[in-house]
Amino acid sequence: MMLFAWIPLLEPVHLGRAWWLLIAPLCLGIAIVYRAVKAPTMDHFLAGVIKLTANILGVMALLGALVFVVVYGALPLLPSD
Amino acid sequence: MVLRAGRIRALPYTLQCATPMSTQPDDDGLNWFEAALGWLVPGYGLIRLGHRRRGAWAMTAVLGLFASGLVIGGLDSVDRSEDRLWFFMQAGAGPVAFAADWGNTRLIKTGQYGRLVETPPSRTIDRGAQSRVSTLKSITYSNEIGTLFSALAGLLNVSLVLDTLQRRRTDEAGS
Repeated sequence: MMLFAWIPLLEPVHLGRAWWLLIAPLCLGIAIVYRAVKAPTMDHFLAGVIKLTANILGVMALLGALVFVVVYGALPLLPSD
Repeated sequence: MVLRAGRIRALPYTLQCATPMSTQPDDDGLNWFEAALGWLVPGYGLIRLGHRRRGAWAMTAVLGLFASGLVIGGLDSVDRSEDRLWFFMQAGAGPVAFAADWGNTRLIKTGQYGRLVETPPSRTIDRGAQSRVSTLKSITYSNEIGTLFSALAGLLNVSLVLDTLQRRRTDEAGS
């Protein structure tokens, strides 16, 4: 019901716990501009954008998993004193 | 190749109709006029150089990211006085950033929309900063992500402007 009281632009969105999902549109925007600058031709432009977006998201997910393993797996094994 | 006046009639129609001056690179070979247009309207510099699809996609991405930032964080995510360093990046997106800052200053900070409430005492306020803030002021994730989106849009547009500056003009369809 909060949504009905929301005034776009004047009020910020209540993101709750889903804030991290916004990384997908962020990466999509970056990928579009990167491809627009770097691609020699516009052939298969969208396919390249989708591939680059997936690459960024995949690598970030891998890095996140690696950090998770280090913080929750490896660090507790270290001697505390 | 030097064109003589008598031979211009023999050029293809599209070349004869090319816009004079502004679409030609300057003496140093850089497209200063198109780069300035690209800052004013993201992607438009590329469109002026004939890279219509490239420019349209870039325009969609930059303006889309900036608009998303405003929707997520509200107008308060662009603030020239309180978030000056972020604003330097956001200003790369062109006049839309200044318009958003103007909207924030005139609509939210003055209390025209929302209410102005007293803030709890802090060292910041003791230094003479604003002691009353709007109830529409964005905070936490919304503000951070909204600011990040609009700042990235600005930085991406700066890269587009630099690209526009040195990109060759084309008349190829679909570029």
